[in-house]
Amino acid sequence: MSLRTPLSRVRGLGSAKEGAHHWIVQRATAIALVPLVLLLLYGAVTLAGQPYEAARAYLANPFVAVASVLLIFAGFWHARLGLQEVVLDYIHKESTRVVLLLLINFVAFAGTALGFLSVLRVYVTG
Amino acid sequence: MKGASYPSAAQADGTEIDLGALRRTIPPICAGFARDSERFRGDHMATTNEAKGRPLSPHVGIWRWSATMATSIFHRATGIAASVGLLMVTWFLVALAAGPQAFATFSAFAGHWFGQLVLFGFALSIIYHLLNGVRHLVWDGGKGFGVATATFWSWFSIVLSVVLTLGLWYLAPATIGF
Repeated sequence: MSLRTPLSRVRGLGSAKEGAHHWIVQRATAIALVPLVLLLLYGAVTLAGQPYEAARAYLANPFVAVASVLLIFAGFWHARLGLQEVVLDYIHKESTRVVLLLLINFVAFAGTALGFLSVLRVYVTG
Repeated sequence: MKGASYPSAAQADGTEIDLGALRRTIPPICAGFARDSERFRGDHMATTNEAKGRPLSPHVGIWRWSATMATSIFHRATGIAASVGLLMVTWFLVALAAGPQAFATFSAFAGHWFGQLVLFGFALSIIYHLLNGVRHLVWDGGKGFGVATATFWSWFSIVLSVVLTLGLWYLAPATIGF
């Protein structure tokens, strides 16, 4: 017999009050990143040795631009969750832990914004 | 304590709080809190275990390396390395948007031996993390937990990631120079 209320069971949040959200998003972004990383590697091979103008023209292609934005979003999201897990596992000192978690979040969001705006700028200006 | 009498406490509605019962209830609750807070502080737990001479579970250094253990550790390490690599991808995009001068700075770093080392480490990390990540997704589906199976795919991830990275370097030697 469970002492949990039906409402608590339906919410499925457990003792962490966050449920399996972290776990699910980590997997969802992982699946999304499989094709995106393959495209990144393809792009690296294509752009190898190319001058500035050629690289810029390549990124201005709508398909490449969309894939790049998706890579930036999914990549930083996935990295943020993964690094958060590493810090929670190994850093036991409260102050260091909070500072590192803040830093990870700031860098991840800043990276996302920078990457998104850069792709947008190249795409719009050609 | 047995037989001790406690003063009664009258409440506004005329009934009385049984202070004796209250005193018998509070200590177990406090002990529970103390136990729980101790459980959340791993370091404190460890020192308690040592002080009381309890057996300790062996730490990392004592285990013989196995392929599955290696791939597990590599997954974390390459995840951290790939995060750094993602910053380099972002730098590439920012430089491309900012103009030829910024791009030249990026190219100079990418062409430097240190930049090449970072790029090679990033390539190896992202390829390994991708291959081994698929193994994790298979495990999430409840498959592939047999010892022989897990060992085989561990070696598969390690060997194939090295082969593919060298292949990428062969295909794109100038990724390095731009």
